[in-house]
Amino acid sequence: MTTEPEEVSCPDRDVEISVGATSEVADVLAERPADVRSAWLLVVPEGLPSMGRVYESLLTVADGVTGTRGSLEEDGADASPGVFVAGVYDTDDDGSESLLAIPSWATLGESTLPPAGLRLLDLRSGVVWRVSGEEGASLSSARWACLARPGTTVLVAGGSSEVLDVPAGVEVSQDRAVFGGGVVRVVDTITEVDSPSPAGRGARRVVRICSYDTAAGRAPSRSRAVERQEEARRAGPAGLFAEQKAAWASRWAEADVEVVGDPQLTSACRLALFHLMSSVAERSEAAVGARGLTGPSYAGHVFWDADVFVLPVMAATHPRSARAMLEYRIRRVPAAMERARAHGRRGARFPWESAHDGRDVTPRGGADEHGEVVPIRTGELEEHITADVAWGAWQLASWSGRWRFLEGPGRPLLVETARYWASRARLDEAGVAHIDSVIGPDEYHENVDDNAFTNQMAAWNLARAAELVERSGASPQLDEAGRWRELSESLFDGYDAAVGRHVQFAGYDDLRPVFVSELGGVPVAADLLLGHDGVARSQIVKQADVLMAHHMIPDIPRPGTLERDLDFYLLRTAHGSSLSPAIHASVLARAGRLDEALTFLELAQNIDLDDTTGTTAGGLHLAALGGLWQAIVFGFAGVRVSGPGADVFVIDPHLPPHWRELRLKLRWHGRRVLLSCRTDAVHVACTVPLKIELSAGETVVVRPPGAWIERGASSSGSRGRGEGVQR
Amino acid sequence: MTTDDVVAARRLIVVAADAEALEDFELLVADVAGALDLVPAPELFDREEGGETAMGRLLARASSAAGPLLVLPVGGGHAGAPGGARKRGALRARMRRVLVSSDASEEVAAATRSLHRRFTRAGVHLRMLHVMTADNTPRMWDGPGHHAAAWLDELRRRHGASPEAMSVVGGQPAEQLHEHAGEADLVVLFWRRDSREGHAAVIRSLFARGIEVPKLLVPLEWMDGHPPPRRLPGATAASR
Repeated sequence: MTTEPEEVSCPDRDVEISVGATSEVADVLAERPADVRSAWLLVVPEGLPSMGRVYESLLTVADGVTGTRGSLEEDGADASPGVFVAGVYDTDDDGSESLLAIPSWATLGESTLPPAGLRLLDLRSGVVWRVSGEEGASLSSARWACLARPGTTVLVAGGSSEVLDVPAGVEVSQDRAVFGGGVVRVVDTITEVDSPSPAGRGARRVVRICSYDTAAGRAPSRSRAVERQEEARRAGPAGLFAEQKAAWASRWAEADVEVVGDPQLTSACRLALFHLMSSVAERSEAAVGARGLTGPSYAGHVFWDADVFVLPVMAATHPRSARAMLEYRIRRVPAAMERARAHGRRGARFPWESAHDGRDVTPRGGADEHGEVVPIRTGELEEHITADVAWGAWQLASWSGRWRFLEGPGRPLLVETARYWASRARLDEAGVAHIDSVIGPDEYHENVDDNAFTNQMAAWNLARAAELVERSGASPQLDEAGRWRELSESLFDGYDAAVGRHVQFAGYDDLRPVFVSELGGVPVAADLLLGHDGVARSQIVKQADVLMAHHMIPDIPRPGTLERDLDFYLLRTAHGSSLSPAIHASVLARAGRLDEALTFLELAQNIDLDDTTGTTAGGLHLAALGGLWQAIVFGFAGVRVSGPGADVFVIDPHLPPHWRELRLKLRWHGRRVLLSCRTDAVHVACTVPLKIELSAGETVVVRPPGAWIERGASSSGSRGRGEGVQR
Repeated sequence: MTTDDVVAARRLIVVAADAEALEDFELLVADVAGALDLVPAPELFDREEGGETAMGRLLARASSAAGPLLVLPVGGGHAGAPGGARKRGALRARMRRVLVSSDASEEVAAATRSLHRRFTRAGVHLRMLHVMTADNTPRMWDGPGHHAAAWLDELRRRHGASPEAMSVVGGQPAEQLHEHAGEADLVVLFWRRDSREGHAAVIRSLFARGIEVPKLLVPLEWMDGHPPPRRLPGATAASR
């Protein structure tokens, strides 16, 4: 039986269902990757109930606008199918804000189920493939979110008609969020059966195209969704598939990580990049929640995860997405300024958790492991996010090499945040500045004074804002900028000369000395073992705190302290947060402690693959994915970008012996840069001449198409090889 | 598999101190056997030897059983051994409320889910108790609020439990189980069928506190071999 085209009335126009689309199903399904060992694939089995929802998160397909969890087409009671709509927040029963979730469009109904098979996420094309069953009860499918046309998703399927018992038709639905946004969705299903037997059995083909209009601050447009649907139909499944492959090929050309000698790590890095790129829109504003578009956990709230862990990846690979992330912050500067005013401060104080309008949406209480409600103070006290936002803006400017963004729309992100710190710091009688009553990244210790990370980030924020103001020469602000510089230099950085390292906060060294080894090794949920008060009274640290400063702002901690800080805090850090292992891998690699770095890198790369937190079912840990990329690029490759004015690209690789080569694709100053790092040399491929510094040595200019640069024999310099290098 | 094996596999070994216990718990035994599709096979357990020796013999018997083993109550005061001072008169119990102990491992969660389906069909209310200890605490814990809520939600779903049907507490597992068992007609304990000294520590410790509520010892591999109908059969390990 062939489903005939039908007319469906939509309010705005009539939609004609296309014909012929199902004939392209076989063509698309024939493109399923054959080699399941490829480092471009994530392969998962079906039929493991305990891992089912974890795989749903890992197999999410997203386009920056919507994310569809990778539930099976028949989903069922054990599944958590759903679509998450970027930047559109709704109100929960308790009045809190959560990312809008709507039912999945990819469910094909409760028909006879095929025997379990495999699913493959092809990272190269952004397509989830499924092959299940056997002759007589088979199902093959492919689904994707169209990267080239965000707001359009496609599913093609072929199989036995009893398995694929799917009605044809068009459904139009609308979901409105309480804050004025919402989503309109048009789902068109076309089916066709070949050579039906008298019993009605045969091979069925299905094409489902789903189009959206989503809106955060306005009513979604039905006509726009219908228009997208029509455009997609005109392209047809084969055309959309070809477009998808091209769109992802274009992204991978500027964003790949390949570790020659470690295919599993390569695969993990690509998986991380895939989900990071999928989760961030490239237009308008991008509200990137802690789990991106892969699940409901953390309510889709925007934390420092976005600015510190995700944004640098985008800045270095797809600057438009980084710009969209910063646009989210820029539009919420007024709310941040209002909050600063409410606390008697100047400037802008960004919220620890943010949703639709930039007000702080951090819960004031939450369930503990027993389901008992306990106070949560991060919204009140975890203030470093204000400097983190500024740092994110600086990252984009540094990678793009342009001041224009910071001098224009991005300016408040540096200036108003600096103004906040200037009004927040307290000067003591000796002229030393302090920041009291905060929570640092180490959330085991609340309400502490002079958190080294917060103070150093604030000092960095003040100095960079002063640099920006002084550069633009805006005279009314020059005096203020001068005061920021003075304050930046007088802020206590936590360094204690007596012990030769940074003390995490005032009084930290007086706490009960406990090593994580006493708790059974890392990672360990120290707060569950010792209790809230127990960890607060101990020196156990939840996650990188002092070491986070070494990672983010390596020029601010005292020179020569990395080793001492590593030695001290490694023994005390529990890694309760998924954000922590990658940062440790990064700073350990920079310090040349490669065996330790690899231990943390392995932990970081498997956080979601192994469901180390027990919560991947609720979505992927986007910050951990971003951290993995940063550990590779900033840590092992030693890439440094110092600011928009810096014209030298710095590389300082520290590679384990079994990594035969580390290959990176990046964008720097608007140019594509391909690095091939080896222990003794780096090959730089470029399209315009690039000034490169290798291992803090001599600067060389690499001319297109590229050249090898060797480390000097004394390891203190670098020299070019071949004609592509100019000294 | 021989005929004897098949017959043995369909037995629910019921251990009691005396015939009176079997009589008192006749209905509950029938309920358990019915829910598991097994045939009750009562055995009297010699309680002359108490303490660890009896415990060892009991676990050895459970270990040799082809399937689950149900231990009927005794009164307090006779640590470790079934039998002893049974509370008389309050019996003829049915299986209505069942407490299932979980260590949150993947295999126990799967077994609980399977048991849940069987017992729910029999009209039984299952309550699950996870006692968080140093051995089963999640390795990474981002704190209360978002993380705890996500973790609890997934833990419950992996056990097939509704939010109100699963409790997570801290402390000593045996102590907590003993405390929560007071509200149950039956306590289910999954085990790995390892009766050697130093193993089955929670069971040993719980039994040492006296057996006032019937306890069902269910080998994990038995649940694996007797799964409820699954939507999607079989799978291999993840590869990546």
